[in-house]
Amino acid sequence: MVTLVTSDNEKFNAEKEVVERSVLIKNMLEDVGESDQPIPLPMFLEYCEHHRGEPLPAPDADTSQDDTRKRTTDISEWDQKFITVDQEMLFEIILAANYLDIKSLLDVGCKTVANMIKGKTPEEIRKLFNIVNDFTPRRRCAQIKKENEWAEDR
Amino acid sequence: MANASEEANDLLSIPPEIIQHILVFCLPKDLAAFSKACRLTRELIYGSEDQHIWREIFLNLYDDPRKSLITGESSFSVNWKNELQRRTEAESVARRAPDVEPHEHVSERLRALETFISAVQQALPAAKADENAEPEPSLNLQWLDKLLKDSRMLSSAPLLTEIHLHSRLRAYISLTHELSTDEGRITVRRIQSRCFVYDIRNYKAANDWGAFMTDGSVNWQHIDHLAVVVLTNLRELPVERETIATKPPLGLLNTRPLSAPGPYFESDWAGVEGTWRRYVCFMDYRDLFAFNFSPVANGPRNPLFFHDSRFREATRLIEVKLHLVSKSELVFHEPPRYGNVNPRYPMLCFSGTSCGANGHEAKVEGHVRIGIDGSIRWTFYDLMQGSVHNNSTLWCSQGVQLGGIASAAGIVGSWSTSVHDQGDPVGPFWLWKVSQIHADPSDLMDFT
Repeated sequence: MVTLVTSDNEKFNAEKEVVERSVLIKNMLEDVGESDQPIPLPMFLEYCEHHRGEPLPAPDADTSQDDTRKRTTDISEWDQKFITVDQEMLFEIILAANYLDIKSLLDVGCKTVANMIKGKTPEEIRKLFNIVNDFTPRRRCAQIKKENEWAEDR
Repeated sequence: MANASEEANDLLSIPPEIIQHILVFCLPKDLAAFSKACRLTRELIYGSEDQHIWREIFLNLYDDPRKSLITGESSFSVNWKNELQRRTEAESVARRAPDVEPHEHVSERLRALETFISAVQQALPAAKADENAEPEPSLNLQWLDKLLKDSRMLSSAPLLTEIHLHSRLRAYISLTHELSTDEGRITVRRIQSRCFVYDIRNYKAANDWGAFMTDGSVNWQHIDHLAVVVLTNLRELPVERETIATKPPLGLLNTRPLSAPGPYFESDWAGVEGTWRRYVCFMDYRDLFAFNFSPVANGPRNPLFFHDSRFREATRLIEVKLHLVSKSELVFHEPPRYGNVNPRYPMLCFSGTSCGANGHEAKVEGHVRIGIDGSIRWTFYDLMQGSVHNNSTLWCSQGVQLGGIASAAGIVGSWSTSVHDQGDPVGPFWLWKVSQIHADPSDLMDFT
């Protein structure tokens, strides 16, 4: 069973194989995995509703060739509030935005994670994302130091 | 089920291409920290030859080098990873410069200064979408201007090995980073620069009678001294006379290619055609002679000479109007046959007139070309009207563009006579383009 939640918090249970008729939701389920967690589909509706009327990216827009792009990590106030969720939900939004192909929402999610990474030490990054340090101590040490020399503040 | 929800809580369960997309919003040093977290994060940063993340972050922070107007060697490919690492490293070197001994960091400093110069050379040209639009800002120049201003890396005396790079950046900065507390330092530099510029031994056949090295590349130390002499004289210009037509646009942001007033024509890559303003500074010939040859002030060539409060240097603002001509139309000089460094920028010849505050017109002609080091080299000949038969009044000036093609900052160089006799006078000049509407002949002037 899959639970869809509307923005006014109404829950709908649906058979997985029923909602899987939607390729997007099917992909999402595969990506997130089977879970008791409700799929935050209504959030996208809320997001898209708020941004209604804003220009959509051109279908073939290649970001690296885009002359006017100015990639900042600024996030608008509304988006900021919208994306203030726990980490698990944040990743779900990012994954779903990717599959639903909502570029602006994907960027908001990715910028949020980037802002979490910024300025952190490797240890802080591990802690933040529950990453286990799996480097074998001796052999790797010199190599890691060398390849990151450019970023050292000696 | 429990497993699945834990997985969603894990950054590394997200597909690599999305993690890449997250990382392109980070700063360079975050990449290094991220790569040190675990094997997988390291793999994401350094594991492949893919330049995607490096390129994207580079382009977030700096101008796209593929859009620059490189005047020297014309073909190059960008290694985004190397370039981003180089700039990051150079920035760190500048930031910690005030706290370390320069001579303990010779090679790092050299690399950093080279990186800064390449950032100037790769600045995005100030091309406008239309006449009224503001050009997109140059990220390179904004970054470098702020970095060098904040770090004050160039305020300490340069090491001998780095003097050319150091001087080159200082010439680009043109005293725009000096604080009001730096007056004493500026006075010292003014005296050093006067000693260098007015020392006639610095003009000889071996350096093409100008600010050049024997191999034909630019002597940036000399250019910096020439710039300082003009700039410190301009600081004495009465404030009420200061306009865009009486003061060249200064500083790194004005070294940008195509930042000088247009319009630009396809055939005129250097932006020759139009109205220019030119400062010429000189010492009274008796002073110049005394400084170079006499024992005055414990001389010859003693800096004490310039400590005398009665010493005066003259500064003259003139207007120059230029238009392109063919080589065969040149009257009083014939440009040597230079090797063509970059076929995109062939030598251009021009002629025109110059006019000072006294209204006397002179004929001007010259040529502009790319030097062997990619610099934009200008040569001018001025002939005073009414003295056509007297060769001794044919003046020759040679200068270098500060920055890229048609930079607003203009051209700095030295002038002397065209025959280069022993003991001929020398002095600095600064030439920059003005838009026709700002060029009011009433603000031409002479001052001492």
